[in-house]
Amino acid sequence: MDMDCISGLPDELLHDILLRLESTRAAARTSVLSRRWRHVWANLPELVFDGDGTDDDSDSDDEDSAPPPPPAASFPDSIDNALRAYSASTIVESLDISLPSASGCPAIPARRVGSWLRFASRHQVRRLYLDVPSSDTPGTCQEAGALELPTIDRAQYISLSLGDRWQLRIRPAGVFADLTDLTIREATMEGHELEALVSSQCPRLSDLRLRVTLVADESDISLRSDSLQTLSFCVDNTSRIEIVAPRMEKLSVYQFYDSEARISGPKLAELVWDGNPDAFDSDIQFDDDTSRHLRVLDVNEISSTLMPRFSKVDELTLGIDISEVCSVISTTNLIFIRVNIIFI
Amino acid sequence: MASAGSGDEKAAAAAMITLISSDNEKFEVTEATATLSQTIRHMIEDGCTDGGVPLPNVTSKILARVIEYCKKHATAAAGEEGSSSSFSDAAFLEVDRAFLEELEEFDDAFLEVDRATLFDLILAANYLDIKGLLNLTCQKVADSVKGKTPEQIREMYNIVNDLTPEEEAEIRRETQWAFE
Repeated sequence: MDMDCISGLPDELLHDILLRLESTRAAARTSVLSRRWRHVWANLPELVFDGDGTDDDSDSDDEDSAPPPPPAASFPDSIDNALRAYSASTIVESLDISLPSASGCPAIPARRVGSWLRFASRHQVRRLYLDVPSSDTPGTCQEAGALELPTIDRAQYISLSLGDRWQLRIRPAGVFADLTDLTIREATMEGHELEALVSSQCPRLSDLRLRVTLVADESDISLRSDSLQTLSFCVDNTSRIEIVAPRMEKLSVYQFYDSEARISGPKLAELVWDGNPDAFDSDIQFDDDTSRHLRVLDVNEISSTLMPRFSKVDELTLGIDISEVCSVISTTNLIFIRVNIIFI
Repeated sequence: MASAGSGDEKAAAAAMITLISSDNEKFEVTEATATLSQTIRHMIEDGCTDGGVPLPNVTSKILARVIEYCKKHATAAAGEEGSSSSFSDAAFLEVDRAFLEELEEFDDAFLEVDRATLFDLILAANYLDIKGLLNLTCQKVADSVKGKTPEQIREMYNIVNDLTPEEEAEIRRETQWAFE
C-alpha cells in the first residue's frame, strides 16, 4: 500500500493545492480528513466564495433527497461561518465574494455585507472583490441602509459591485495608501465622499472605474488626482463635473447628459465618449493644457461639440446611426452595408 | 522540433552545468535547461556553480525526471524565440500552436507517474523553484481532489483518520457550512 504522501507536504504546498479548488468551502471540507488537516484551510492566503461558479458543485451526496434550500438563501450564511472560523491572525492576500445571481433576490442587510468588508480590513487584504448582483425585480429589493467601506491600508485592488442595493459610505479619515486599482459599480454615493475618496484618500490610484449614482440630484463633482492614469466615468445625477488629472492618459465617459464638464488632462491620449453631446444640452470644456493630439478618439456620433477640440487624431472610431435609413427602406434582406469615406 | 533543439544546444554548448543528486549522481545539463530553476539561476548569477551544484534534497531518480521536464520546456522556449524571426506572423502562430500542443502532450505523459513520485516532484519543483513544474504537479493533485468527499480523498491518498469519532463529529458541526 502507498504511504500517505500528501499529508507530509508543508502547509504552503497544501495551500497551493487547495487554492486550485477555487472554493473556500471545498477547501474547508478537508478539515475532517485527519488531525493534520484540521486547520490547514483556516490559514489559506486567498478566500473565494463564488456563488455562480466554483461553489456550485455541491457534492452529489444527496441527489435524490428533498430539494435543498436554494443555495442563494444559505450562501451568505456559509460566508459568515467561514469568516468566523478563519484564523484570526492570518493576513489574507485576496478575498473574493460573488453572491449567486441566479435565484431571485435574497434580501441581505448592509450590515452583514459590512462585516465582510471589516473582515477584509482586519486581515489587510491586498485584493478585494465583492459582487452582489442586483435584484431580479427592480424596486422591490432596494434595501435601505448604508454600507461602509472601512480603510484597508494594504489593499492594491478593490472592486465593489453592489447591485444598486445600498449607499456606499466612505469614512472621511482613512487613507488607502497602496490602492492603485478601484472599481465601484452599481452603488449610490454622496458626491463629496466620492470626491474625497478619489482626490485625497487614494494617493496612488491609477485605474478608476465608476458606475455610480449620486444621492442628491444635480450634484457638482470634482475629481482631482495626481496619480490617475485611466478613468472610466459613468456618474448619474450630476450637473457639473470637473476632472483634473495631470497624468491621465485614457478617459472614457458614459451617459453624460445635460451637464457641464471641465476636463484638464495634459497627457490625455485616448478619449471614449459614449452618447452624443450635441443632442443634449452638454457643455464640455477642455482646459488649454489638454493635448490636441489624440491617439484614439472613440465617439458614437459625429459631434461638433467634441471633435473640433482635437486637431490631430491617429485612430478614430465612429458610430453611425442608420435608424433613419431603416425607416425608409426595408433592411430585412440587407446583407451588406458599404460605407464610403470621402475626404474632400 | 529536433532541429530547433540541436541548434539551441550548439549555441549553449559552452555553458554546461553539473547537477549532483543526493545520492551523488552527476547530471550534465545546458545552462538553458538548468535556469528553468530559479534556485539554480540565482546560484549561476552568484557564480557558485564551479565543481557542480549539489542538490541534497533531490534523489537521482527524481532529478532525472525534473531534468527531462526542463529540457523539454527549455527547448520549446528556445524554438519559439527562434521561429519568430524566420516565419510570417500566420506561420509563426501555426508553429506556436504546434509547440504548445506538443508541450501539452508531453506534460500529460509526464504526469503519468505513481503518487509517491508525484509528491517527490512537487517537493523538488518547490525546492528548485520551477514554477511551471510546480503548477503542473499541484494542479494534478487539485484536479484529483475536486468534487470528492472526504472519505474518497482519504482513500485515494491513504490518509489515516486519526480523529476520534467525537472529534470528527465536532469538526463536521463546525464546518457544516462547507458541506451544505
